[in-house]
Amino acid sequence: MGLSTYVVKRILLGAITVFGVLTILFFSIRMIPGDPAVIALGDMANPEDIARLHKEWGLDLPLHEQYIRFMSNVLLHGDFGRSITNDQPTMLRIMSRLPYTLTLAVLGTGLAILIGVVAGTIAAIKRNSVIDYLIMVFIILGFSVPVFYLGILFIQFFSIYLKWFPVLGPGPNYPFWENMRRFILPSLAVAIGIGAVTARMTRASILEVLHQDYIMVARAKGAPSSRVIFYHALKNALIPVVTIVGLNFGALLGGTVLIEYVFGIPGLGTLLVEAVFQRDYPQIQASVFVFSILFISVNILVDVLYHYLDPRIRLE
Amino acid sequence: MIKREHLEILMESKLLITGLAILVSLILIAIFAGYIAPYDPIAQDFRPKQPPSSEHLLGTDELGRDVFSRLIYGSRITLYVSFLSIGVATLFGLPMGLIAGYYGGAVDKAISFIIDILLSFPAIILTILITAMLGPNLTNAMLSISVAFTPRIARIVRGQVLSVKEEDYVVASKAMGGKGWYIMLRHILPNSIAPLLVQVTLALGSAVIIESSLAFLGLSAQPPTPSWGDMINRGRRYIYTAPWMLTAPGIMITIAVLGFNLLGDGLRDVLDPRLRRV
Repeated sequence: MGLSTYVVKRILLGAITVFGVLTILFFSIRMIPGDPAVIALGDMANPEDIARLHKEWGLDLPLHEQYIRFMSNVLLHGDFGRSITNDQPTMLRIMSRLPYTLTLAVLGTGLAILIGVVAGTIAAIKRNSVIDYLIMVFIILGFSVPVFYLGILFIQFFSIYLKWFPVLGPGPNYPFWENMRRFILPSLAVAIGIGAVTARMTRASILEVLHQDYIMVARAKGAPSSRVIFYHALKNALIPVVTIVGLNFGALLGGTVLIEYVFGIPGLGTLLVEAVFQRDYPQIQASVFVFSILFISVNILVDVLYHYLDPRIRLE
Repeated sequence: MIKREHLEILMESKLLITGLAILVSLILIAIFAGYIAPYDPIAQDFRPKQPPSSEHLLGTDELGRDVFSRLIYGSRITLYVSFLSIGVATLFGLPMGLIAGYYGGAVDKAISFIIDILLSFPAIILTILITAMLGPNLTNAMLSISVAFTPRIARIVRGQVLSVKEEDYVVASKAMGGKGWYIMLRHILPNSIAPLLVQVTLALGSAVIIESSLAFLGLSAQPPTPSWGDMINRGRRYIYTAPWMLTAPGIMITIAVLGFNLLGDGLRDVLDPRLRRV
């Protein structure tokens, strides 16, 4: 199977998955115990508002008609309905918040790869040394600290104690470079967990690659140690690293929700959390949908990248 | 199956012993919380936000409750949620994976489709969705974690079954007329259990993180129940004036997750001979 056929196939499979995701979201509002409109608007809501919501959510129609309406609204018009709290289209609110989340996710992924590859390579080269053990401790702790607590620890240490960074993350009222500065702590907090996983993978992968024949050949031919590591070993060792970063992107995306909340960043995550607090069900559905679309797209991207990097792997 | 040789490696694995020691201590703390905690975890004192002292080892919170006592009782919620939710996830995920892997074909396609859809939500986002819809409380938080982990466990089991299915002893049993469920329980399950055990242990750690994250967002156990995530959430509001409120629960969550991760990694070293020398 050629790469382009594979890409098309993956996108088609992704589209089927999106159908499944939408079905789950469709049933999510019907999962709410009691009348969702009453719960969303509160006990004191007037009957007209409740009737309006019933109509808007289609709760007055038979179930299969509701399903078809929901699907066609979303797929044909990108319409997840209006937010209950401020009556704006849910997708419009998401679009204004998305740049913060995307920036956080991209910076977080970049930092995670940087931290992971550098730490993992050093640990592998200096195997069984003090540095290796320290990196191993970092890896084990990085796995175990919950991301929201790590964010708070960073605020306590870097913002309150050292006063290097502001307590709050980026927002719409700051100029570009100020926002970039405010992205540093949150991105670092998002990155540490995946950085630790990446470091462990890089270390194991380099140690394995160093025993391969082509490394022996390179060494035997008298290539300098640094060239062997950086050119021959690292290049091949990075293939599993791509997979591990891809596999953990979901966790990173989940981490952005909590980190946005901790740093008060007006991204998609805080929008979701606010919507949860306000029982703004259409907004919850739309936000969760965008998160899973991001997740599905990155998974496809990683698979394609993986096959591109390692032609030995068969496309299935 | 566990043999004597395994027990020897077991004792040699420092990771495993450390992880086990952490978890056993936590379990003991949870069981004997009533004897260890000096105060009632929900009793309020009229002097809020006292710094740590000999009277209140870790200080008091914004309502004057003893942080140390709340910390001790909080271990109950953490362990209860993680064991119960991952237990339920295993209860459903294990047969799903077994059936999908063993029978293949349309059954496998159907189960794998459900697994893939549930896995296209990051775990924390799926749990936020479910608790938000069903209502924020401890039971729904546990339920949401079970739903998030069932497909993860099913997928691991399925992969394991696929690799064991073609072994000679399975083929032989089939040739002798062994029934599907008999082969699954007698041959496939015991030979798939090792990697599953590792993954379930690691999942327990993830469940601790997710539950504390949900509690941090106010979506798990409701006040005045002492839970570590909720303690951090409250402490965060007094980060300048009473930082002791959140430091201890933050460290405890990390230690609990560390315990499960070390145990899981240790088990992997012991059970997977291929990795032993790395």
